[in-house]
This record gives sequence, C-alpha cells and structure tokens, in this order.
Amino acid sequence: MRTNIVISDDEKESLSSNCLAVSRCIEASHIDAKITLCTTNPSEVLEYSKKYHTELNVYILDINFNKELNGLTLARSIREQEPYAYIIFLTAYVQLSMLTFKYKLKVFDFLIKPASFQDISECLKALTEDLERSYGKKLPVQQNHINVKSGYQEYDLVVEDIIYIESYNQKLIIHTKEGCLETYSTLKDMETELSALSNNFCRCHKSFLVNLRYIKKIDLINLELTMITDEKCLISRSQKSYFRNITA
Amino acid sequence: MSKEELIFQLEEAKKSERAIKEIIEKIENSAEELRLIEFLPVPIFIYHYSKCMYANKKALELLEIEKREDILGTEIMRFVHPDSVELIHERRIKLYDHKQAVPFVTQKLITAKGTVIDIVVGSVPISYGEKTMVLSVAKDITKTKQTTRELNYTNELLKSYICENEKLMFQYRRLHHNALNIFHGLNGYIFNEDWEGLKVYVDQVGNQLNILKDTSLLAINNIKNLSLRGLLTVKLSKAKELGLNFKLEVQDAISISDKYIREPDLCEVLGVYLDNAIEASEASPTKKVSVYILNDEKETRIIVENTFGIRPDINSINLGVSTKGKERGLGLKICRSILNQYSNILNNTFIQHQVFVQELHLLKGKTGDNA
Repeated sequence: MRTNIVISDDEKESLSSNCLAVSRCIEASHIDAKITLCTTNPSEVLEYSKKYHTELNVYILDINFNKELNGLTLARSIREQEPYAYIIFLTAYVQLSMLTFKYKLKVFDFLIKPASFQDISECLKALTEDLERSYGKKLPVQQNHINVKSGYQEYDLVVEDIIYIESYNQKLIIHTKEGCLETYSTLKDMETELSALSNNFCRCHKSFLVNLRYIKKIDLINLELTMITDEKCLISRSQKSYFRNITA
Repeated sequence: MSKEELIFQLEEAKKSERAIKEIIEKIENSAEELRLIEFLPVPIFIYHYSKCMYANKKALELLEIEKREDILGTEIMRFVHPDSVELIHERRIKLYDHKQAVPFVTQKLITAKGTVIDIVVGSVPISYGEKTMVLSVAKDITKTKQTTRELNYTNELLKSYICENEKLMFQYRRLHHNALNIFHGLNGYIFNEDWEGLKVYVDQVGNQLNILKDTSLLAINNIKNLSLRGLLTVKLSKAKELGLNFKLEVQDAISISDKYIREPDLCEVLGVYLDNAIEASEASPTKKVSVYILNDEKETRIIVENTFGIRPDINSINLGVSTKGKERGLGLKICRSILNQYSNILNNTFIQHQVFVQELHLLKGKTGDNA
C-alpha cells in the first residue's frame, strides 16, 4: 500500500535537506512511498489534508512556524480529518510539555532538529513496520474501530483485533493482538457496542466476551475455551448448547 | 479390615471424642485463671497427632474459622502449607517419641478461606491421662514479614541511591572543571582574534557538552517520593552503563500519595517494568527507553516505553511465561497480583508504533482499596 509523505517546515534550508534525506531513505530501504508535498506554507498542508484525507498520509511537520498556523494547531486540524494519519514532529528541543502533545495527538515520533539521515531513516523504517503490522493490505479507514477510555485517556482499538474481554471486579480487561487494555465498563455495554460492528462476538460466560474467530479449542467437558493465545475463557452452562452446535 | 480392628478404632474414636469434650469442659468449668487460656491474645491449639482437640478464640481467628465445631476432632494438617509439612514431621518425632518441647520456628499455614499466612509456632508435649497431646502457641507474623521485606527493599534502594549520588557528584566536578577549561579556551581564541580557530573549537567542545542536553537527572528531582526516586536513579544509571538511550520526563513536581498506591508496591511494579524495558531495548537497534510521569488533578500516569529487537509476544507475557526465562514472566505475574488489589489502578501493556508500552493510570477519583 503506497503512503504519501508531506513535509512542511518554514525554513527553506531545513525543508530541502529533510526532503532530500526522506527521498534518499525511501530509495535505500525500498519503501513504498512518495513525497507528495513539500512546502514552507502550512495552509497548503491543510488544504492537502482536506483533499486527500481518505488516503494514507504521513506528515512530517515542524512545530514552530512563525505564522498564525503553527505545527501543533496544524496537527490538530489534520487529526480531526484523518484520525489514522501518521504525524512526526520536527522540533529544536524536546521539552517537557511535548510529551502531553504526543499522547493527545498520537504523534508517531519527535525528531530533534537538525535531524540526521540516520534519525529519519530509523523513524521511517519503524513507521513502515508499524504500517504493515497494523493495517496489512487494508486502509485504516476501512476497518471498524472502537474508542475505549482507560482512565482519562482514549485508545483506539481495531474491532477485529480484539481476542477476548474479561471482567474483573469493576474493570474490564480487553485482550487484543496488540496488548492488554483495562477500562471501567461493563461487558453488557461492550457487547452492545461490538455487536453493532461485528457478528463475531459471543458472550460465552457472565465474565467473558470472546471473538469467535480466535478460538483454538472448545472443551465442553470442562466448559472452557482455549484462545489462539492459549489463554482460557469459561463457558457458562446456558451457552453449552450454543458451542455444541458450532462444533457439530 | 477385621472386626476386631474396627471395634478397636471405634473405641479409639469414642475415646478421643470424650477427650475433646473433657478438655473443653475442663477449660470452661475450671477456675477463672484457667479460663484465661480461652481469652489469651495469642492463638493456642491442643492436638493429638493430627487431630485437633482444642483451639482458643484467637486460634479460630487465625485460621479464619467461624465455628469451633468446624475444627474440633478434624485433621489439623489441612491447614499446613505444603512447604512446611516436612518440618512438622520432624518436630512430631521429638514431641511424641522423645517427649521434648520444640523451639519456636516460622512456618506457613493456609487458612480456611485460603489465605496463606506466616506464623511463628512453638509446641510442648502435655500428658492427658495416658495420652500424650501437644500444646502449640502461635503468632501471626505475616504483616511483620511483609513490612520487613519492604523495609529491606527500600533500604537497598536508598543505599544504591547514595552511591549513585557520589558518582554524580564526581561527574559534576568533572563537568565543572571542563566548563572552566572550555571558558579559558574560548578566551584564548578571542584574545588572539582567531575567528576561524574559534569556529573549529566551538564545534569540538559542542560534543563535550552533550551531557548537558540530558535532563533525565534533573527530572528525578521532581519526584518527591524517596524510594521511587532511588529506584529511578539506580535504573537510570544501569541503563547508561549498558549504553542505552534512557530518557525520563516528569511533569512538574510530583508526590504520589499512599492513598492511591503504597510506595513499596509502586516500586516493585515499576522495578519489573523498567527491568523488562531495559532488557528488551538492549536487543534493539535504537536502544531507547523512555519513562514519562504525568500528573494532573484527576490522575497520575506512569508510562514506560521501549524499543525491542524481536516483537514481544504480549499474550504469553500475560500468561506469565516469558521468552526470556522464568524470572521475567514471574515478575509480571507478581505485578498483576499486586495491581489486582487496587481498583483505582488501570494497567495497560501494548505495542504502539513499534514501541512496547507499559503504563499505569492511578486514578484519584477512586481511592485504593488497599490504602
């Protein structure tokens, strides 16, 4: 899947050196990407995003523009239109406050200026790996997502990546292909939300909601499901016949 | 089993039942002094081999038993933790065969509700009629043991913290010395008005001052919890020794209250997280470990991020098995059992943007159950 790279910096020298580094890196590592825009004017970036928001874009932005529209406000507007675009910030110095932006804007990386060829190359390599893993051949916008709050932070989960959900005291533990996430919610709410997006989820037990795609083994004697990760989920008596029908 | 044997066993059973009744009656009907045993603030048991003949109030509390009938005449070994069974057998021989008292030892019990507790117990043989019974006095030291362990841990941390501080002081002296030299150097070029030479010189010394760009050490001072500060200092210097790119950022001054998590628990969990991160990042090309501590009125977030060589198998980590040997999986299992006690803490582990993230959310709206 081809990615588009947009680079923006208000200093001409730094813009051209970064453009050069990126294109050299694309060539050297055979990355399927091209630089589609290279500009000192942030409003051009915004226009681009409006026009091409359905494609997979990577934005490399300088934070400190000496204009009304700075890197952060620009990134915010991009995020509104493209929740899954990659944003990489260029900055003179990573200050403490940056990490908050990193989490609010889901920034892929910070590159400290002047960014060396090695910095850019490592960053783009990590990006392509991430891309292949998370989306495969599908564009992110074509997949179903849910928003989960863990504490006061929101996380974006791909519905089909959820392996199972388990309730523990007042918490839910969501096991996905990418890891584990805890949240305060009920299985009932989660079941309602997920069933609107996918038919693969089954409430096999009062404390478990499983994705049928990821079941490896059904053990009707011990009333237990083994997931592809070798984790075990319980089956309630009332659901026994349902699973018997599946296996039959 | 022959008829004779059966009758004999029945007789024996009757006898011991009678003995139990007698002991209880004796204690209940005896003079006030003797009744003290029932109300003594230490757990006391009397048993004949492994059959329980008497347990006072404190003993019932210790074993989390509600009614005395649930224990009298029953097998007492069921409360003994498998680790302590052998020890008890040795002591029995002394008690019954040699009629000798046995000194106090620590051993583990499992209560009726399944809690594992540590006790100190001492026993003496007593004669009851023609029978030899055993009287044991116990003391619950579970809390003491835990506190001692935590204190030792904190102590170790503080010791290494002090060592680290000495090293830092040395570094500071060197830097101080260096800065003066650089200043003299600059002065020399300026005095001679050698501007080209000055350019070259500034480029050269730039590298020496790279250390000033690292603000991790300053960030540590923002943490007001001493043992947490100790932990981070130690791990920071370990990472530096291994040549890792370790970054710590702390937003404002922060003090994490016991209300949200007990400090020894926090240090233990974070210690495991950091060890994992340091170990995994060593195998990666960029060797990055970043720790962020964010704090606002609603929650405190602690985020540990690291790069990795081989993509970690998240789900086997959750099962408590690890590709990196037994100990690591064990560490995460301990973390989970600690964190499960806190309903105000959410704990997430996942891979995002090719970085392994371990994070804790300490929510302030809900206070810790364990506090």
